[in-house]
Amino acid sequence: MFEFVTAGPPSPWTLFEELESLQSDMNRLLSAPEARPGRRSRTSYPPLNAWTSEEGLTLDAELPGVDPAEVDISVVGDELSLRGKVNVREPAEGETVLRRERPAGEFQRTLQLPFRADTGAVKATFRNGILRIRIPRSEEEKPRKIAIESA
Amino acid sequence: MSETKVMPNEASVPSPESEAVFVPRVDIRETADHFEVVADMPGADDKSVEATVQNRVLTIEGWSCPEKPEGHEPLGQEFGGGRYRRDFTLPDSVEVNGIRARVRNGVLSVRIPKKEDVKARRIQVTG
Repeated sequence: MFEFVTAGPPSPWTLFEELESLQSDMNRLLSAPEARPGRRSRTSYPPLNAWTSEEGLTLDAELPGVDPAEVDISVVGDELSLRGKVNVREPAEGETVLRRERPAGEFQRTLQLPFRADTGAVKATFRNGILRIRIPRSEEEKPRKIAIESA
Repeated sequence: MSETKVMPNEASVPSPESEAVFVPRVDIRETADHFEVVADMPGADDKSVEATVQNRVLTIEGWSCPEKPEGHEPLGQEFGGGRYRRDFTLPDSVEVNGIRARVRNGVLSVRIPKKEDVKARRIQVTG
């Protein structure tokens, strides 16, 4: 029923590394937690899942606790940038922080899309801490059936 | 040793019978009148999250089953659904009956009030 990252088969990282161009990966997380119990020790934030179809690409980003108003998604041509702030809060008066493991700070991730996007039609929803971005292919990149005319 | 703070039980999780359990990352805060445990449980909602207290051990659990988009082929995966679980030992100074939990945007917050007699009080000093 569930898929577990921790106990799964060899992960399909290579696909993702291809998707993510080294030069444009300007990922940055100001205060990465020292202890990351139970999760992979991967530095890129936020973690992403991606799927493709003839229509385009669907991208899920794990961003628990983020304020959607603090997330900026931009798509230019075949490049998608995701940046924002997460868990940036000043301690309340009289409050002591006993433990801090959750990521906090600014993040930015830039991905090379495998196609040129229809930038005007990109849509995003945020539910239970998961941001889902739907990126349609531009019309000229969609597979097209060519009618064969009889001579 | 008697703890006076809310502490995660590192040895207790993941539980031996289930290897595929995520240990949620937590922040723990203390004020004069309560503790607060804040846990990242992306993908979980109020129906799939549980907080229980037994013998001064607080257990938080949650389930995430991300919805995969229809008609798509996977390209890359950096996170998955699954079960979250973590235990915490509570100090004697807390009022277990007053514990309240809520989940919002994939984050569970558990508020643990201190007993009346241990709450720090500000005493008015009169001249």
